[in-house]
Amino acid sequence: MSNRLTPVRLLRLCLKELRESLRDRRTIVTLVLMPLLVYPLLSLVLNRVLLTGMKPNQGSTIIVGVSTELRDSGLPSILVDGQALLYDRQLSPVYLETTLEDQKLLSSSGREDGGTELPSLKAIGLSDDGRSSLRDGSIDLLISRRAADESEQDSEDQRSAKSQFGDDEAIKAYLNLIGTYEVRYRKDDQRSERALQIVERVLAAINNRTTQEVVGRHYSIPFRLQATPVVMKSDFADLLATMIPLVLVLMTMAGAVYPAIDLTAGERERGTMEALIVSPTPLHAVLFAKYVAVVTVALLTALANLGAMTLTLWVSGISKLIFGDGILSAGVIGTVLALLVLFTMFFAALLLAITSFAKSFKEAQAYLIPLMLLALTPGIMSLLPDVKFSGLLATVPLVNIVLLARQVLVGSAEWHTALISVTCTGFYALAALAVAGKLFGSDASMHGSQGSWRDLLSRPKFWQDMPRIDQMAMTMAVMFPLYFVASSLLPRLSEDFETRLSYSVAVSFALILFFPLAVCWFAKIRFTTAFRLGLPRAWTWPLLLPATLLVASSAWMFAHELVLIGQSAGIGTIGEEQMEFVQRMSKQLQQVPLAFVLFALAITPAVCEEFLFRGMVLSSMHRRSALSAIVLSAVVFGLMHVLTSNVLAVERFLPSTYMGLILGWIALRTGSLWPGMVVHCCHNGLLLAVAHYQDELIEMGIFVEEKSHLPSHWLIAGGVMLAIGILLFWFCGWGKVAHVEEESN
Amino acid sequence: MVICLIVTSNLSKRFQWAGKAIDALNGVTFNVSGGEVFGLLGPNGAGKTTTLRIIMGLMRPDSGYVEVGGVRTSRDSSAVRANIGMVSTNDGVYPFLSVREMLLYFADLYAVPMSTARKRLDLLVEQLDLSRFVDQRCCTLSTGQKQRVILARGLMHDPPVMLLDEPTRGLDVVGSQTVFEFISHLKDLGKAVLLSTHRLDEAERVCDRFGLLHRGNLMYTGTLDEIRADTSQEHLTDMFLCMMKSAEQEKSGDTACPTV
Repeated sequence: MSNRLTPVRLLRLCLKELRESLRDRRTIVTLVLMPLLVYPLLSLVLNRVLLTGMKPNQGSTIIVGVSTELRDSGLPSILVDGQALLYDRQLSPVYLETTLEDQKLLSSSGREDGGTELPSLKAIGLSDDGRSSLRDGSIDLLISRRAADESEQDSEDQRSAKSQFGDDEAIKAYLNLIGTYEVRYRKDDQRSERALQIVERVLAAINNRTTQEVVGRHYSIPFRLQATPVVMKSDFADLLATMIPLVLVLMTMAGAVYPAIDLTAGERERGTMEALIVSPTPLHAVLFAKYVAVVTVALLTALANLGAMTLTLWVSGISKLIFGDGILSAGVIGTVLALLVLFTMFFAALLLAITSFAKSFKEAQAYLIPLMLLALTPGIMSLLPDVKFSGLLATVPLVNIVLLARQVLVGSAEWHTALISVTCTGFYALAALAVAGKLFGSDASMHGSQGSWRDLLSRPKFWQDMPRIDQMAMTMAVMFPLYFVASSLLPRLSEDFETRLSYSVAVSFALILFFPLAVCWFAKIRFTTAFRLGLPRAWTWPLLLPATLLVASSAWMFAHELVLIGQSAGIGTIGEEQMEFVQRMSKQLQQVPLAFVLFALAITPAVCEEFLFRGMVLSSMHRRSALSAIVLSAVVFGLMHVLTSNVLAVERFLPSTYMGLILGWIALRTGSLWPGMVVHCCHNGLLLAVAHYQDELIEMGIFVEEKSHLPSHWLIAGGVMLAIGILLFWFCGWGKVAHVEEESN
Repeated sequence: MVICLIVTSNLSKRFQWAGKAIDALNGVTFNVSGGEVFGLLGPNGAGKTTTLRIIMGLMRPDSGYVEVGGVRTSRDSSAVRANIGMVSTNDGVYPFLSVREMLLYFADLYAVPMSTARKRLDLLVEQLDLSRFVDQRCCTLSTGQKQRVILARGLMHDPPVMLLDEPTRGLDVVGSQTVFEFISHLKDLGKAVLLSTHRLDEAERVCDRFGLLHRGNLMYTGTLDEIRADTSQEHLTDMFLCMMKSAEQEKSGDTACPTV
């Protein structure tokens, strides 16, 4: 019997786990019943919230009190008459907030004209100064005597007006009222402030009409605003746009919890775990099948939830109120679903890591409750309206997916943060899966003691030659967000360009070089084998020098072309602003001594990145196939360059991955880290030297602009040089093939 | 020629517990041949489960080695596990799978080709009388039926070696009888059976040879007659008590086994 794990066998293992989960009615309850109950209830609540939020003052009457001394004046009737002017856009001033309020009212009532929807105004004469009536709320606004310091001026204005227009009956009524009035309102009282707003508009309209009548019928008010709201959005739109992905994420989490517990801690509780462990099938295959089952159930839950939510939003009409027209398209739903898939992959791995440790359902639940509470905190934090989805938040699990989904829902997603979020979540998922793999069926969890967690972190007894994938994944999961945050924050500590470069160097050495080295030391992984620290064989040295020079001096040409190809294929995020930043940086680089630039941007990355990518990453993947190890390490190398550069640009993915392929192949072919490191260093150094002597090269007429293709004869020469360089490296690996194959087995 | 399918040689294992070193096994050596039932007997904490775990390659001994079917566990634990069928006290079933689905799943775990697994399933259904409930979900089975399913599970990949860890614990007389019949059946099939138990009466009924384990030391090995001769005791229970007292007195210098 061959114990080879064929895809068909793996599929059968997955199907068994899935069958077991889906036959359990507790899974079905979360999967079907929850969406059926939650969303209709949620829509009811949202409806209430939205309608309550849109109802201030609807249909109410604003009562304006006029104090004793003005009771018998014409002011009350003028105010009431003036109210009719509010609907004359020629006369009534338009305030944006008022327009929005009006629009909401009109929209909710289905009316297009203003009609009676604005609060009506009622002016009443008071028998006292009216302050107590204002305080106790029986009136909304109090208009009292004219302000004392304005009285003289007012009398002067009245005299002047009467002398000019005393004969005009139409404006006679206003003449005695000309002046300044004192208006009191209740601070922070929405209704009273609204009354003030209405009265201001009424008076402004009366003023405008009076001016029109005084100046002549053809008088036109010089400056007017026509405010036209394009898409009516609720004030709650942002909040709800966050709440929707959060609810989806929480429901997906709920869907994943039960199967995760059942398929791990449940195995122990029902006594089937030992039978699994003693079978010759590798435990990681069994765990993978369980992982697939948990992800599938969680995704089914996500789909059921997304479907139920879309249907509820559509049927209840809330989607239009939240998103306006056309935003909740199939594309948006698909993107949100893709984000949910990613999140599910992460969360399922996390759940398995935790539940793999538990010996019973109860124990697993005890571990998961704090996790769920922990998950709620960042979730609720992402509901805060002021939260900006910055680079830093993009590294925080759960928050990044919720905020990214919010951006997708409101149509403002950005490449930068999306890529960082997705990559970080991917790394976290890998790391969690690695931990789960270590815990699932481990001796500690089967026959655990209180020191079991310590066992997980304890140093192994035996030394190993190569790191495992889970060790690499955990290293990357810790290192990547730390590096991203540190390389974003540290340079901000200084204005000086040279100091910032020094910080970057320090960050690179600390996180890209020393951190993986520390992990390998702790995990007892031999440096010499894991990082390929051995020197190339002596007879290859005369070949290595020309090979290195040829590859380093020609590889950049194709990297440059790949950038242009990527851009022409529409892969690109560099905008004008970022181009300016690049040019500014290029100018600043010219001011820094070349030796320091080379140390910071050629030697440092070459040393650090070679140790990480051609050392730890490549070695961890090299156990199965050399080709897949080279490709995967190159992709990780490319991703890292896209996400952690100062100018986050997708264009960098293709050329960096291409360089990663060449460097990975060189490392495996020569069996040593050093030749690739020299190539990397020379390649970077050459580009930096070109940038440094840019002006001189332009004078000599041999400088190629950033956005133009290289001349064809350059490319042909470069291609020949690269081919010869690769051939020489190939010769350097002569006689080493057997060793490489043995290593890969 | 008798072929030893299980060979353990000088197995030692020490655990650290709350800062103290505990010798779980101390130089344990025994062999089990094909067609033989070897009873590994001892009280709780004697080291029976540790021995089984080392045999299955789930635990590394501090010294000594184990060979199963001629393969050392330290060399290829996967191949060793493929040669072993394991039935333990605490074994359970998958409640939402049918008996057929569960048995085929375990065959798959042991990389048995599907066609062979189906034939094997039919055979075991007949031998262990599973036909009435083979398509029922396991959650509907009685305790005895579950026990039979678990025994069948251990044989789905037709291993030459069977390890039975307290297989009758918690079973009634009828359930226990099923297990005894099963062990006899295994013996007839020529399998090497290692039965770990503290039920001495049962062991006396089914085992060909015995190993009496006490505090990690294998005090006696041999047939019932050989141990009788060594201990001057008639029954296993008496032998055991004698062994334990002897071990206590060994500490104080007197090695004679008192008459019980």
